[in-house]
Amino acid sequence: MEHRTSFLRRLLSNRSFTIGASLVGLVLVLALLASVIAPFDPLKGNFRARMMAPNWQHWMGTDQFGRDILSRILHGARISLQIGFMVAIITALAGVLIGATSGYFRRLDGPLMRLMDAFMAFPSIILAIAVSSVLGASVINVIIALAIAATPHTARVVRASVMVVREMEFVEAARALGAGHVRILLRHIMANAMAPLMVRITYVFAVAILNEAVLSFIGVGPPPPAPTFGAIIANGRDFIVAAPWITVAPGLAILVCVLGLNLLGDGLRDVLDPRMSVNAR
Amino acid sequence: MSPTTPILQVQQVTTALGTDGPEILSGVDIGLNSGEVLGVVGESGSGKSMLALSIMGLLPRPITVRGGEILLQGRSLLQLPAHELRGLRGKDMAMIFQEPMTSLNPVMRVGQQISEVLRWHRSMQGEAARQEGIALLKRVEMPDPQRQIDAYPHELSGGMRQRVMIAIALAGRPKLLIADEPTTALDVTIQAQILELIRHIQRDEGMSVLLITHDLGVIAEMCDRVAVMYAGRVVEQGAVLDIFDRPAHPYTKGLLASRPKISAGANWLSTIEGTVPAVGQMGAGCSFAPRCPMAGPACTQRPPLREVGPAHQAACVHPFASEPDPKAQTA
Repeated sequence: MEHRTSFLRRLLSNRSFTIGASLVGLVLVLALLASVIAPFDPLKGNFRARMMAPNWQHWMGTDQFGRDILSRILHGARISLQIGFMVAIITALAGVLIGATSGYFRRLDGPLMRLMDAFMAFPSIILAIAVSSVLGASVINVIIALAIAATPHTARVVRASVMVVREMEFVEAARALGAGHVRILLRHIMANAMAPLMVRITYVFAVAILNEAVLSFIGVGPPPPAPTFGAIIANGRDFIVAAPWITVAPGLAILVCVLGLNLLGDGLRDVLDPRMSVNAR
Repeated sequence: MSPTTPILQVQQVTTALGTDGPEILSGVDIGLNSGEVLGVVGESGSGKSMLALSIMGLLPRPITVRGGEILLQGRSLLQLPAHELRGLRGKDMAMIFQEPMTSLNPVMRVGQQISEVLRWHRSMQGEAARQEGIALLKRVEMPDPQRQIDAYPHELSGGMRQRVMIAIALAGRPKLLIADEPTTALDVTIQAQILELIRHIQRDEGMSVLLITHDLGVIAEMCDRVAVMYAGRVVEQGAVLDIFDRPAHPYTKGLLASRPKISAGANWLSTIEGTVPAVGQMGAGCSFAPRCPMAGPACTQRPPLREVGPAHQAACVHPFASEPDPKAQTA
């Protein structure tokens, strides 16, 4: 137990982790409570309150249909976080499966990594656009597209750490005691190779939120009227001069999410691997 | 099983880099009887650890066994399919490694690591495995086993970790224990404790131990018989006393001479000139010839291991103790 508590204490004394975790926690709570705290229906227009600048009734203003931006952002955060979370989970699973296999079984390393190289040859956003437009626009297809785009790098990261741990003595000791491949890979190697993956996953989470916005912005994201961050921005781009709050508010929301996740990831990295810390305490 | 039944026979084992690379072990022959401690001694690069890994079937790629036979209780290990060999590892033969600091999984508790072996090889689970784990920690004289079974490796000292390693090795009740320099990484007082512990357990369980070391003091203290290795070959083999009192091979003699002696009081330690030839740079003749003070024209042929005394063999054209000990002959 001693081990675990000291790890928590170090996490909590890391400033970038605590700030990042607070931001992410705040966004998470707001998103979860969206239907309770949102002042208006995010989908219902009000023609008497079109394109209103931020005021006491509509804190972030309204769009051209009179929909309340704050309510749309709160509900949008829900969809965006859902997408980010699912992409992070799927990418972690696929990355571990591919990365651990190719890091551990040398014979599969070449073919699997060349396949990953082929995926990496495309910029990930272009790959996501291609997958998403082939599959069609829906929340699930966006998740699949973004996960496919994020998996190759993640597999690389996992492979590298598996290759380091694979050569450690306790792995040979486990083998000398009769452990099988699956056991060695999961209990002995992966359990000791998680740190870079966890950091990578927070980054994948952040990038998924950003890329979802990109996909929605160019129209291959979740279909309207679903209020995702990207969809709100795309909707406001025609009025960016007349009603900048329509685009600025969701932009700030993206900023808060991504900044929070990145700070959280940085803090996690520093605590998991003190040698990588830039400002060693 | 009578005390002279061989538990392990290594016959003419040759390992090499890849299929046509240089040889690393060349025709190694050793035998280990049930309940016996065999020491394997040699300097770095002599192939001691390679021998241990060949027996366990854990040779790192691309090193492979090119020829010979390894029999454990009469079963040929080299012919066994991978999954059967895995079943033997940890159960019939177990191994202790040199570095106790890195041989334990840092993210698993001591108890979990012992339980793994109990589950695989003795089908024990849950509370039974935990109790057996505590019993094993007691067996290796771990202080406060009730508490230490829940410790993580980083909470233990080097000596305690090596005790845990021994407990894990004993968990499958092996008949053969391979100890690859088990005390090299420990400080001297702990070394003595660990060696005594291994000796105790070996006697109590009637286990056979293959002890790999470069420390002749350890050999003298622990072993019944010794095999001296040089450049991938066994150059001399025999009972401990024979090797120490009547070394036949010039290399063994050199090794013994390079130990510090309290009685001699000399300022300089004697050394063996030169270094072990690198893998792939060994000539056709005796591999020790370039460093040997006795080397002559006959040494350009590789000398086979031959009897130089009762149960004492050396691979040398001019062995020292060629005249057998009269007392030993009558015995």
